[in-house]
Parts: sequence; structure tokens; C-alpha cells
Amino acid sequence: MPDRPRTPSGEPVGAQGSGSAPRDGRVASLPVVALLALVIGLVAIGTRLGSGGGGPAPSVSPGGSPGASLAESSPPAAATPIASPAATVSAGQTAAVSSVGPRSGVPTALRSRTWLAEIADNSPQNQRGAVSVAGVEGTTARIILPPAEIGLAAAADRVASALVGAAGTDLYVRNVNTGAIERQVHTEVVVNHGMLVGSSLVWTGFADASRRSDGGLWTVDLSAAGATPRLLAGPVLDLKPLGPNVERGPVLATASGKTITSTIGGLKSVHLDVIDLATLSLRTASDGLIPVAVTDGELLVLRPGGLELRELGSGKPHWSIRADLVYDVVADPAGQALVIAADIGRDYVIEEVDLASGKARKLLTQTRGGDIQYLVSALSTFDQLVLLDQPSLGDALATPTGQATAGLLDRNSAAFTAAAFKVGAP
Amino acid sequence: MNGSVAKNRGRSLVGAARLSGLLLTAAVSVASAVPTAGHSPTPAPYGRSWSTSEVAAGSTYDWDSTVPTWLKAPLQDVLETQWASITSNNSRHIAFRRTAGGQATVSFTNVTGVVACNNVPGWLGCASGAGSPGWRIWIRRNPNLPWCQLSLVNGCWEVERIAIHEAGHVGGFLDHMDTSQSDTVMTPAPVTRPNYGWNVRRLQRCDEARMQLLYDVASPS
Repeated sequence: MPDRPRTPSGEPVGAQGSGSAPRDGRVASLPVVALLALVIGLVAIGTRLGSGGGGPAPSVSPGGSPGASLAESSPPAAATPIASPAATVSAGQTAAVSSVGPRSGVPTALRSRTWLAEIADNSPQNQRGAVSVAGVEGTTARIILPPAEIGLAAAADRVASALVGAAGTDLYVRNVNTGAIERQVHTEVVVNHGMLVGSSLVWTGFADASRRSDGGLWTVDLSAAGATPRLLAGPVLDLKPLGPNVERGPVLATASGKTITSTIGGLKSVHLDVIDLATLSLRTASDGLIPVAVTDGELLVLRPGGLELRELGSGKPHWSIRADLVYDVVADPAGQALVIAADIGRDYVIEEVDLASGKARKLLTQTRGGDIQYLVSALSTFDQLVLLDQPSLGDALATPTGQATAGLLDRNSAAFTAAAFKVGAP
Repeated sequence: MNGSVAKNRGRSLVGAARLSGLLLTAAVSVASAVPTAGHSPTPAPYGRSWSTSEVAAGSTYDWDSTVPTWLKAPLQDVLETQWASITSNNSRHIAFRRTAGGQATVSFTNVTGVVACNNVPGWLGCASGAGSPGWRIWIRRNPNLPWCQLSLVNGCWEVERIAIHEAGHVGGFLDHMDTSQSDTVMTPAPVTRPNYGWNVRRLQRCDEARMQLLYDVASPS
């Protein structure tokens, strides 16, 4: 497990953390260019500083503290992404789709889940070294994305992907069943992570191809034709306090879809933003926390030797448990518990942990030395936990056209059914 | 595998001298709220990971299809030669041996399936399954990471430095020590070229001491 940030117990989280560092020399370093270009550049940068991510005094929304309202402070993307409504989407990259039919053995509760896998591809023609594949758990629907596209997220029969180019990134949202591009968005951000949350697409990344500057956290409403992307957090301009190798980590969302988190960090420290997605406003921010799961009221974060549950608003720790290496977490939609898969000593343990008390109920313990069945949250619901023989779905599939055998762990009874159904190839 | 066992684990780890589990990751060295043990050779808190018979049998590993040609020689050098060097690891440690179809796996990927690896911004390497014949080491494939083997420039990461750290996790069950690069390769954050320690590829003195406490001294000389 990683070492964790030094956030004192009970320390209230503050606004923007490292994001409040002074502006760096980005603007001053501009060469002598046409005055118009300079003005456009300044406006663009100013626009992206609105959340208090290191720029001039942040906008203040009614009743909010500086940096509290991101929606107000990030006007329609002046310099960055431009969303195109579905009707005007041009033909994109070709993705290969399979024929769609029902898949046997999949429990009803899992049938509508849409999965995404990153599959290694070390062939010389694939510079990215991987291929993204998505599918629907209850059917044979499967889409193999063009190799250059990074699979970001999949949900509700849709898959979002990013094609990074010289001038930013083209984001695609495709229908997994048909391969049709339903939405296309261009962003200047060099995208590295993304997520589909309800009707929103969220993404993070770098400001440019150097991958040494922050591009911030963005979202666009996919349900509204012509909706413009909105800046949710960052960009953090002074990355030095974070140490070398700075990047934005994966975006996490609550089961309700109301709250998302985004981290940015390097080898020295990490900064966390928690966003209310309904209002596009910052709920809280803190330094030194790396979440592995989030509910609308709490954060489950890494800590030395295990995990710790912290209150979202105050940062107050509630309980901690031992976990030598955390593999995956599945959240209870009701917000009462989490299922956590972790190494504890020589055992790989899947257990349900009550959020209020921290009490754990072991569901399945497997001792290392034999084959392990790993929990894969992308395929699971809270009640129906899906296990594979590899920790990642991509490894279990092995190839873009591969197939994996899934086991099923019933949370209520803790009964395990091996080889319950197949995932991947029809 | 077993059934459900109700158990209260609302245990506090405050004060426990545990620095973390298995992962180099370039993690956030802001790290531990727990005081480190300084330079004393504190053994891994969980005890030895390999039994005497397992040590005698050795551990076999193989590359998966993600590992490119350029990466194989430095990884094999670390896992088989540097790890086993009598001058830096004079303990009765387990030996690694690459064989086709070996039980353990080394990968070069940006995705591990281990949330504690992938959620740490800037991670470089990660390991799981310590003490198990099926251990895994992931070295990160990411366009943001200049490996020195590909481009020997200031600011590059030496892949052998990352690999010896991961070997410490799976081969010794060593946890992180947030001390100097001259004491240990188990620092949570390595350094880049040309900072001191950037190209260390063998266990350091605190690592060797911990290995000897856990697995005994190999040779009294």
C-alpha cells in the first residue's frame, strides 16, 4: 500500500490546499506574439483559474466562501472544450462491435451492468500498449475500441473514450451495442482519466502534451445537446509542492452519483477535491488523503497499514481497519456499508464493513498459495459480487476477444458459486 | 475459502509501527503519520512471508505479454542477480528464477486491478501476493514516465531501482521505511537521476538487516 498523507486526525479540511499556491510563470513565459493572441491566452488562463486553483482572487458565489462555487467561477469554456450535440457528430474512429444476444447464467441484478477493460497489447503497431474493450454483462454485446483510444468509463450501455492528439483530446461516447458515436467533445486537456456519472461525463488530465501541468477536472452534461463543459476543480498551477511525477488520479463517484472526488498528486503530497455534481460546487478539499471509495457522507482513505473512514465535511476519522493491500471496493447504494477486498497477511479477504461502526463481516477468505478469485467491482453490485481469477478484468480476458469465467459471491449468504457465467467473448 | 465470520475489526492502528503493505508506488511520501523506526532493523511487522521449505524450493516467475524486450534484461538482473547478491543480501532469502510458465508474473502496464496501486497519483511500481508463489509485480507503462533505460536524461526513473523495491515486498515482505536512500530501497518514494540513490539496484543495509532478522543469516562471514 502506498504511504499516506500526513493529515492529522480530525483536522478540518481546508479549501484548495496546494491549489492555492501562487501562480507560476506560465503567462510571463509567453514569447512575443501578436497582441490578440496574448489577450486570448490571458483570458483563457484566467477562465481556468476561477475555482481558486492558484490564480487571482477566486469568484465568490452568493453565500459561499472563496472557491466554494465552481459553477459560478467557471464561465462557459472560453478556451477549452467544445461539445457537439449528437446530431452534428461526425464519423469517428471505427470500433468493432459483436452481435448482441442474451448471456446465460447472469443474475438479473447484474444484467444491465456495462463493463470496461483495459487489455495489454504489446504489438509494435500499438504504441499505447493497450486496447480498451467494453461490454454489457447480461448480453454478448462487446465493443473493441480503436487502439489509440483510452477507455475512460462505461455505464448504461455507453462507453466513453479519449483520443489524445496534438491539440488536446477528442472524447467519444459510444453505444456499446451498436458502436454508434452518440456524443463527441473536444477538450484542450490531455485526458488521463474519466468517468460517466448519471448523465455527466467527467474527465481530468494535463494542460498540454508535456504532461507537466495540470489540466483540471471538467464535466459536460451529456443529456443536454450543445451543453458546454464546465471546470470543476483546478487547474493547480504550482505543482512543485506535490513533488515530481505529478498527475491527476482516477475520479471516484458515490453510488448515488451526487458526489465525485478528484486527486492530484506526486511523490511528496496529494490534494483532494470533493465535488457536488448537482450544483457543480466544491464540497470540500483537503491535502494528504487518497480515497479508495466515497459515499455522500464519508471517504474511505488509505492509511499506514490499512484503511480509514473519514467524515467528508470535517475530515474527522471514524474508524480504521487493517488491510495490507486493497484490491477493490463495492459500495452499498444505501450508504450503510462497503464490501472491501484486501490482502490481510497471507489471506485475500472479502469482507463487508459497516460504515457506522467499522465492524467487519468476512464473506470469503482465500489463503495465498492457491488460485485466488478476485473481487471485480466493475462487474458487481453490492449484493451480487463477481469474482475473477485475475485482479483486473483486462488480465482475466487476456485478449480483446477473450473470455473470462466469473464466480458469484452472494453478499447476504456469503455463498460462493464458481464458474457462474462468462464475460467477454460471446 | 470459507463462509462468513462475524468479527469486530474496528481496531485502531494508531501507534502500530506499520508503515504500509506491499507497494512501492511512488506514493506520497508525506506518508506515514506513524513514526518510523529510524535506522534500527525493525523486521516486517507481519513476520516472514516465506516458509523454510518455500525458500528451499525457490520462486519461479515469467513475463506476461506486456513486458517489452528492453525491460526484460534489467528486471531479470534485479530479481536474480542483484537481489541475491551475497554482499547486499546475506540472508537465507528466497531465490527468484525466470522460467517459461513460472508461477509468478511480472507485468508492464498502467492498470493493475489493485485500487491501492492505481489510486495513488504518480505510482511507478506495485506488488501483490507476497509470500505466495503467484506473486505479481507491475512496472508502470505510462507516457508520463521517462524510464532511464529508454532515455538516459536527468529526471528519468531507473527501472532497476523500482524493481528491487518491489522485490523487497514480494521476496521479503518488507514494508516501507521512510529513511535515506543509503539505508534502504524501501523508501516510499524513489529519486530520479542524478539524485543520490537513483540507480541503486541492490538491497541496502537496513534491508539486509531486516532480511536477516526474518530469514536468518546465510553466511556468518
